[in-house]
Amino acid sequence: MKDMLKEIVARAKADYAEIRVEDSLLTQISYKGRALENISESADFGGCVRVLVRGGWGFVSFNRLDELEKKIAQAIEQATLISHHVNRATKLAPVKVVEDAVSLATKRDPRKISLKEKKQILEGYNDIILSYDPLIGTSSISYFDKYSRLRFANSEGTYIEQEKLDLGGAVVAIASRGGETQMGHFPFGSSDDFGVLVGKDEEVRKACEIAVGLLEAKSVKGGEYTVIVDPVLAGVFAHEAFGHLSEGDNVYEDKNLQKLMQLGETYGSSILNIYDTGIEAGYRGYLKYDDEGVPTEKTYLIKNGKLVSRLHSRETAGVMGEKPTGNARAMSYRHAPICRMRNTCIQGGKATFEDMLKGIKLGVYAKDSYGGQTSHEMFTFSAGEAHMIRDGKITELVKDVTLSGNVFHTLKNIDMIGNDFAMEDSGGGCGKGGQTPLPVSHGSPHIRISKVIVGGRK
Amino acid sequence: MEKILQNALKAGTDAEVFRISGTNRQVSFENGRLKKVDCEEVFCLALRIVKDEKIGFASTTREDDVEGLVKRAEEVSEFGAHCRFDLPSKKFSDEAKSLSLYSKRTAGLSTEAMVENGLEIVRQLHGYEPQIHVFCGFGVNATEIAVMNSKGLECEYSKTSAGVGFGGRLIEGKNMLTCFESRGGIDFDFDLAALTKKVIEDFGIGRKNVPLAAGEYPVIFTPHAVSDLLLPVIACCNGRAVAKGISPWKGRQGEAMFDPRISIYDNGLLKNGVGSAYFDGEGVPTQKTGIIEEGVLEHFITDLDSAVALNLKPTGNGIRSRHMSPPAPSITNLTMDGGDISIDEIMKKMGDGVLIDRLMGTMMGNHFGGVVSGNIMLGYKVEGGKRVGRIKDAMISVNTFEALKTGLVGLSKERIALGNFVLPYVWLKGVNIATKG
Repeated sequence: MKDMLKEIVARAKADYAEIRVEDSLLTQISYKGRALENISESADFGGCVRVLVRGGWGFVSFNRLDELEKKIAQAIEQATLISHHVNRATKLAPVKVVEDAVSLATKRDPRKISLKEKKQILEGYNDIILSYDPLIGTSSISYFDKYSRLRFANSEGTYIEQEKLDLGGAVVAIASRGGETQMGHFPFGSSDDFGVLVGKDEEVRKACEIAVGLLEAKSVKGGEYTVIVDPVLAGVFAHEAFGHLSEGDNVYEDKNLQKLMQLGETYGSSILNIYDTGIEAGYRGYLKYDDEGVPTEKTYLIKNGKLVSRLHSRETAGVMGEKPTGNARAMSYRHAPICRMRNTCIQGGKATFEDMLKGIKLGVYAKDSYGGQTSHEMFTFSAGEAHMIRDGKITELVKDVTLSGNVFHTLKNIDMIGNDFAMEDSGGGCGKGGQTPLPVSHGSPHIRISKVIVGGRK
Repeated sequence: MEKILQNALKAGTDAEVFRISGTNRQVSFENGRLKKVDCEEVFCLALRIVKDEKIGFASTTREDDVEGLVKRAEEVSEFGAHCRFDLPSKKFSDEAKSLSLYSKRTAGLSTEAMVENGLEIVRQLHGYEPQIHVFCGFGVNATEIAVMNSKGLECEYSKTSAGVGFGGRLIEGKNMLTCFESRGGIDFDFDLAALTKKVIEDFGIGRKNVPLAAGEYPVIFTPHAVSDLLLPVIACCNGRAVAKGISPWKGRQGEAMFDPRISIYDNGLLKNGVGSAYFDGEGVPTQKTGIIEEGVLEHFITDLDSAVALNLKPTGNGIRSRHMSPPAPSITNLTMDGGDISIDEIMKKMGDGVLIDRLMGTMMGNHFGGVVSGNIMLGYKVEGGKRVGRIKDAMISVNTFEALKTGLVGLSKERIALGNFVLPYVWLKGVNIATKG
């Protein structure tokens, strides 16, 4: 296939052309309560071509390779149509021509574990949940693993083959009493190790404890609080609060945003360092090359409180005269790559957890995550578990804690960064431009933020 | 498909084949510029085998992968869920057939026409304010769906759907304002000029920020925001969640849940509904199902499996979310009845309060507990029945179960069709809003 793809893409009559071919097998297992809900295997084979003609992009995806040249012609026709309306040429940032084959290095390969064994492990967790407490009426367990073989060829001569693994899911305990339903969860994810799901009895028991505990908890009172955020939720915070805004496609053609986001601009206090990395093996955002054949890297977004870089595709980097960072990612062959995060992290600092608690008269300790969302300026992130902090002490559990911030204030309100950095993965993902869920990971130590708005009761 | 079915029946006692094929075309404008034209070819075959009373599911996007598909389905059936339902044999009703799922206008819409529409929207928005960073996308899909099973069911249909979404981001100083509109339907019949006018109007008012003190307010939710308010209803009426005891609505049919003015339906036969179909992903005829009628919980939405578990009839809600997934209960189109006064009258009657158009972060709440909590991405302070400016850096937290029971003040007679939602404006009292400072 290699020679065929290289030859066809080289012949494309476009300023730039690329072909991606993807072959994957997805295994899914899910339970609702004791009963198995679904077990399935899905084979997905397909490809796409993307061409650039005088500033216009054409993209065609398909499931059969037999008419590849026709698909390229169709993409060129689409791109040409656009080029009549485009007033300037698109300059792709130059990158090295690469020929590479990346094979998968796994710790524990899920493909070598039988369905029977996978089921046994999940059923073991189900047993823990369903025998934990009479208030726990049911459970919800999901697991998937996906092995993909990715091929990439472009008209500049680059040809890359990569193997990729993605696995994840969540074990959820569901407690109910009267009309009230509450949950606790243990999410997991990895790009190289089925082991993240093995021997997690304690984590599953903790999820049960939270679910039962939340039945007793009161809703948090809405208002502005000083919040201590645990590494899991702080990672989501970094992703929503600043990661999305750093994506090059937000900035590259918006002069007003460029003024706000000039490199060197201060976004946080000098203790704040945020980076995105594609080179940490094992995490779900890891991969050697992105979907434009650009090597991934560790990119600092904020260093000592100042904006230092952003996450680029070749196009956004080219237009802005900056360096591509390997962040052009596509959910699958059905989509064109766009600027996306990989593993977004707040770098560890010096504070201890005890330091952070000191001096908080009334605050919230928010842990664990059910996700977040952003409109670039404002963002939300939801806790899986939260306690009130009263006079420097962690006190009662509260429920329904969704936090909100504003990028221009909240990052500057981070006044302490912990020394307990941890990377976390979940089975969820990031959504943008109709491409959801894209595997990403987060990392952070505990952080303390003042003046965070928390939605809640009166 | 027949070949797959025949092969599958060599391996198991029953089998079902689902096929989807078609094309999705998209035209996108980014940053006020025509950016890309995409064409996606869609093809997927999915197979369920019942062997030793257990279900095996497999899918593939390779047309020539019949053997592999059957083999994988048979392999996983060894570990599969117990099959407690019978595959349907009845074809869909004539009533369903009178519904049009195919629009020639949508199928025939040229790329050039989408481009022209987009250019006009960009011109209009830039005419109002050249600094607006305009985004705009059109999508048209044409698909063919077929289900065949070993009970003799053999049915298929062609369907189109169309969608448009556009708006812009305006940055003034350190203030970002994003206003946008979106519509969907089977037919590409959108009043783009009116939607553009609405977005420009929103920019006009939203550019001015006004302070709002934390507290309880009367709030009008636009149909966009009502779709967030209804997330707990969608979660709790799901037959699978009910059967497994996750939904607190289990065993409560016939109970008055909401104010008697509230009626909410799932309608798989909704005219021009994006979620409309003649049959669901299991070949069960679609229908209109009353979830809440005059405040009373009436029906759950079910697929074959959850219907058996609950001893109910399947409602035609066995939806395959990403073609490649097995069917599971999911809404087709959700509609909510309106009231008898216009939104203008509601605004006047409310006088002072808040209008919320867009919420953010609401997907993450505990919907089985009724909680909808989120940032007010686009909301306005209302004084004397008029929007006076945008409220920002504010959060709301509503318990839908309580709000629609005791907090409902009124419903607008106007309802807006948003793809697979048809919803009125909802006026609630006593909504708690947390703000900065």
